[in-house]
Formats: sequence, C-alpha cells, structure tokens
Amino acid sequence: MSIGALITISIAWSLIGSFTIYFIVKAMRTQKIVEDDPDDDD
Amino acid sequence: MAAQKKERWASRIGLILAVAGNAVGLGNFLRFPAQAVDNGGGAFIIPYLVSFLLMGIPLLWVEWAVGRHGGQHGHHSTPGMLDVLGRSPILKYFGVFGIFTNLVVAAYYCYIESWTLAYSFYSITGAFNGMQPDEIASYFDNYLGSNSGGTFNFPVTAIIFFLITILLNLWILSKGISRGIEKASKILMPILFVFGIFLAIRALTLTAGELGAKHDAIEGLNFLWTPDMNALTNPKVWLAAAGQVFFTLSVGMGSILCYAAYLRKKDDVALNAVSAGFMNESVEVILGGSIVIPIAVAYMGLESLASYSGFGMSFKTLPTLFQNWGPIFAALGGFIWFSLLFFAGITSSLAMGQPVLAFLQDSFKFTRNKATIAFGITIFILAVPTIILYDAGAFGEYDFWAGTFSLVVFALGESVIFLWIFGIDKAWAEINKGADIKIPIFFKYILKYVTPTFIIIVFVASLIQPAGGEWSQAFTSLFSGNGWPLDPGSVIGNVLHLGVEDPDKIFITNLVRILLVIVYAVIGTLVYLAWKIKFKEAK
Repeated sequence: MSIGALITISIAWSLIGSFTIYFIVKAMRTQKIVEDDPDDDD
Repeated sequence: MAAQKKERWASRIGLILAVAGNAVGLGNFLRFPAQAVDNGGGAFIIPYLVSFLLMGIPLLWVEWAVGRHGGQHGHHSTPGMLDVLGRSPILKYFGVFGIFTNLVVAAYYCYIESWTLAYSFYSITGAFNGMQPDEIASYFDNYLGSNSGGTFNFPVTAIIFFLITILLNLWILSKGISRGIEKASKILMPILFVFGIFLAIRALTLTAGELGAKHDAIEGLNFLWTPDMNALTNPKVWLAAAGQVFFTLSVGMGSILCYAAYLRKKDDVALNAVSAGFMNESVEVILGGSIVIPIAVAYMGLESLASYSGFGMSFKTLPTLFQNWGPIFAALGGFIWFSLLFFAGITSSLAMGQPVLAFLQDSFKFTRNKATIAFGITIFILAVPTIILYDAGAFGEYDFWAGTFSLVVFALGESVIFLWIFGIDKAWAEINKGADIKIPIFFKYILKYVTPTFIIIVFVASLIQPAGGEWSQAFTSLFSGNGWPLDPGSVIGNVLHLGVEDPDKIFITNLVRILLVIVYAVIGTLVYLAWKIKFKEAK
C-alpha cells in the first residue's frame, strides 16, 4: 500500500472511528431517556 | 392535535441505533465507494469531512431539534412541525414534502430491499452454484423481468419477494415505536455490524492465488485511498462529496424529525444527533469502502473499477466472485452480503413508514394498525409503475424526483424556516435544550450562514450541472459563446429529457411526473382536511 493511501486511511479511519466511540460512550454514560419526566406535558 | 397514544423510545441506544439504521442504507456500501473512486480516491475524504462538519452535522441538529419541538406540540410529521415554527399557513403545505418523499421513496426502496432478500435466499440455497458469470448476470435481468423485450416488465418472483418485504415492514411498524422499530434496530444493527466486519476482514485478507483471486485485495483499498490532490481544486469533487454526505445521512427526508418527535422535551438532541451521524459515517467510510472494491479488484483487477456500478457489481458480479470460495462459503458469503444489504435497507424503510403512520394517527385518529395497512396498500400501489415500467424509466424518475431532488428542496426549506423564520436565537436555544454536550458557539454562525449556503450551492449545482460535471469546461464554453453544456442528469436536463430520444420513454416519464404531482397534491389536500378538522374541534 502506498504511503499516501496509508496516511489517508489512518487519519480518516481513526478520526471517524474515535469520534464515533467517544460520542456513543458519552451518550451511554449520560443515559436519561428512560427516566420518566413528570413535567412532560405532551 | 395530540397523538392517540403517547409513544416513546424506551432507551437511548435504541433511539441512536434506529436513527443510525435509518441513515445506514444501501448507499453506504454501494454509492460511497463509487463516489470515492470517481472523485480523487483518498482526496475525496477531505471535502467529504468538510461537508459533514459544515452541512451534515448542522442539518442533523436542525432536524432533531425541529422534530422534538414539533413532538412537544403534538405533531409527529413535518406539516405540523413546520406549521408551529412560523405564522404562515403555507409552511404546513411545504411540510408535505416530509410525507411525500417517505411515501414515494418507500415504494421503490422496498422493491430494492426485496431484491436483497431474494438474493440472500438464493445464495443460501445454492441457486448460483455451478452457474457461469454471464448466467448469473442475466439471472438478475430475468429476476426484474427485463428480458421480456418490451416496454413492460412482469417479474412474478420479484413481486412475491416484494410482498414479503412489505409485510415484514408492516409487521414491525404495527408493533409501534419501542416494541417495533426500536427493537428491530437493536437486533438488526448489531448483526449488520458483525456481518460488515466479517466481510471486510474476508475481503481485505484475500491475496493473489488464494481462492482464485488474481490480485491482492489490498490493491483495491490502495486505489480507493491514494489521494489525487489535484481533485481538490475540481468543483465536481466538492459537489459529489457534499451530495454523498447529504444522502448518506438521510437528511431532507422528514424521517429524522419524526423519530425525534417521540423524545421528551428535556431529552438531549445535540449528542444524539452527532452519535447517530458518526455511527453512519463509520459504517460508510470504514466498512463501505472495504468490501465491494477490494473483492472486485482481487478477482478482476483495477480495470474493473472503470465501469463500476454499485447495483451491477452487487447483484450481477459479486455472486459470481463468491463462487470462487467453494459451494459452502459461496453460499455463506452471498447470504451474509445480501442479508447485510437487507438489514441496511429495512432499518431505512421502517423510518420512511413512521412519518406516514404518524400523520394518519395524529390528523385522522387512525389506529396504528389501520395506519399501517393504509401505508402498506399505498406503497404497493405506488410501486406498481416502478416494477412494471422498470426498463421504461419509471424507477429512475421516482428516484430522481422523490429520492434526490425533493430531499435538497426540503432540507433547504426546513433550514430557512427553522434558522431564519423561527429565528437563530430560538433555534440555537432549542438545539441546546437538555444537551449532553456543549456545542461550540461558532456553530451558531455556521448554522445560520454556512449550512444554508452549502445547501443552496448543492441545489443550484443540481439544477445546472454541466455535462460530465466538468464545471471549468462549462464556464469556458459559456464565456466563449457556446452556451452552457447541460448534463442530462441535471434537474433542467432531466425536465427537458436531454439525451432521451425514445418517444415511449419520454411519454412514460411524463406520466410518472404527473403521477408524482398528483401524489403531492393528494397529501396536500389531506393536510388541508386535517387542519379543517383541527379548527372544528378547537371551536
């Protein structure tokens, strides 16, 4: 594999992959959707 | 106009998987690699990521926030959601796009979905075993009834699989938000990831001489990701990247807004939106580029990519290539590949059904089962032209007007309505309400100025796209007095039937356009009646 391809693939995959993991983990750690909201007026 | 029964998402991961499932579709595996190969390989990723950051993510925030806001006012489909953002009665009629698009796209999308179901069945039962490559290629044409030689297609088997696919969709939709769509997403999305990872590893580890491969599969990855920096100065590449980001995220459909309408008023939208968006990007960039192209290159060399076509490669060529893996692994490989596409498809088509069901439930007090049956019958009727006039171009017309053009129009409209009419300050507050992440303040200005500009550029470019996407040549032609060379695939070129000489085809595509206008008008009339009922009840 060429150096250019290796650099591009490393940056693209690690950037997108790490952001995905970061946001999903953060979402799981701040899970609050299951809580019942007594103020919910819908 | 409150929903009859208060439906909610049961878990945050379920919601994120459902929205990601909506976005992850056939395009992630078939369209993305084709776009990347055509537009500078590795360099394509730069405009792609810029578009994702400046247009994709902001549009996701807009749709999630508009959806949650609408849900708080008892609206779970776009006419009502847009109506509560401003004072003009026109807004709700513009919101018709959010039902029209889902209804029409669901019709032909479920048809494509049914091909993948059929092919996973054929693969696992060994139907392709012992077939020659040309036999497998013509199998697909026969399946679509394309070899009948006339204008009409009568694909009996395809219709049977189509009906099965519709019934599966309806069954899941009838179960509701949490017990139907959410549960299905929680089961299907992890399987999709596992299947995708399995196929990507199998593809990338193919070496020359192994299982009949002529080249190392990694050459395909090398070709896809080697940057051609000259491409960065070509407007065609930037427009292709922006277009790909737009369509892969399923923005402009109205389905994300509908899903967000089932949130509580203090639920986060900021983090949910980026989580689902990035999940889609991971599937597209990491898995989407690592399956079809490496396998194609391993068996057919780099020259096979010159005429790369997602559907042709998927249905006509891959089953042939899998035959090199021996009868058992060919069956397994084919089954996994087509099941992966089916799961990607069904999680998207479910998202197309929900806005229609929500409109019928909210506005006409339909029960969920009644709304589901109405949706099923409507998409079957709408799909008939795409099935029997497939070769005559009906399928392409549906895809162009409902699945491409309408998305850009609706995304532009909803952005202007939310960010400019509703107002950027209220919009920013709405996006940040209950947020689990702090969105940098500069995004407020990106939302107000950059994102709408981006969509306007994509919209105008789609109207006047020059022949072959060669913008510099088109301007040279214009300034030298030779006029603007329109591409037949541009909106104006399409309207004018550029490049189409067959009068039968022109006649049929015109009929299809009239049909689509009638569908929009009928939904508009239903919206009018729904508001009439609403005012009557309010008195």
